[in-house]
Amino acid sequence: MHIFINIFGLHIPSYGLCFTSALLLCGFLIIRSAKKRGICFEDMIIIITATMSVAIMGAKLLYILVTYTPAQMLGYIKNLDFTFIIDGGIVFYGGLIGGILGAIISCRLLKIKIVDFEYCAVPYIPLGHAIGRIGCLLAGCCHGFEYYGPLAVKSEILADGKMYFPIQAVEAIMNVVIMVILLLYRRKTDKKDISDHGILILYLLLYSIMRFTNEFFRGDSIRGVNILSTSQWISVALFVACIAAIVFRKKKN
Amino acid sequence: MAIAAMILGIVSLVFCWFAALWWLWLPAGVAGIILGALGKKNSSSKQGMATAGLVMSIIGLALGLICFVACIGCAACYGASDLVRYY
Repeated sequence: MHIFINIFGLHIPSYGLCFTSALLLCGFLIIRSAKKRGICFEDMIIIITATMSVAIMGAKLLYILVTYTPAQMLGYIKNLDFTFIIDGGIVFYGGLIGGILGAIISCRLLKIKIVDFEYCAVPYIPLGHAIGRIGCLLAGCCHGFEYYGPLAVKSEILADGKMYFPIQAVEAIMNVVIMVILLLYRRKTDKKDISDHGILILYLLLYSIMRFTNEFFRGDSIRGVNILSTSQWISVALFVACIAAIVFRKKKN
Repeated sequence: MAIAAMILGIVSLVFCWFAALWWLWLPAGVAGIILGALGKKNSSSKQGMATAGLVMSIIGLALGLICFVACIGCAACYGASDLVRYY
């Protein structure tokens, strides 16, 4: 696997390339969908930018909350050391929550129906996620458990000589499958009067099942609290919330 | 708004090559995109400047993200392991 890709003699970081390509491709596809729903290009650019920015802040905030204790954070702040804010990583679920909040606020400000934005954007979230996971595969991070069977991969970041289960590739494929399901659902409901959040509920339901299952195959570190990882606990809560939302929708209809 | 977008776009494009100045080009790029889009939408006379600001902000952000985004998801895993030791 390759941390850097050689393009015309330039060493381009593979993860950064995948991350940015995912953002640009999904942005393009969302704007194209938005045109069909009558949302103008400028409004869409603002909503996408605001959503992504709040998503990244949310992802970072959740990472900080699960990584540092309040005492540790206070210690850093007292010493005027704010590097803990930029050090380390992000958590996808924090990004999802932040993204939903960012979308709600920006849609409200621009007087656009959040449901219209959902139907444009939600099917392409798993596509962006899949491309990001390919970046992880190339860099060798977010790897699976130690494994020496078929399709085992090395981790260039760790460079420890061990082989790992290619969970990043599995997650990428599962994300593409989720995207196809969402696109088929959107095509089926497109001509109807959409006033509920069916496509978002469907995505969260499918993603929570996928994430809960895949966490068992991750081996990049000891993860979480008690038996399950942090993401698995969030997946369980999300799954229950989605089922409750579906039951509520059925009763309402 | 169009002029502000242009300036922010230039700032983002110029400083995106320096990782240590992420606090400058990242918010400048985000603000440049939002102001550029608003400028295109609301202003009839400075459309060209707003578009230029928008495009430069997008390019600056894209270049900065390509060069300096590491695989940040992984570090969350290591962070979670600290939490387990704490409990």
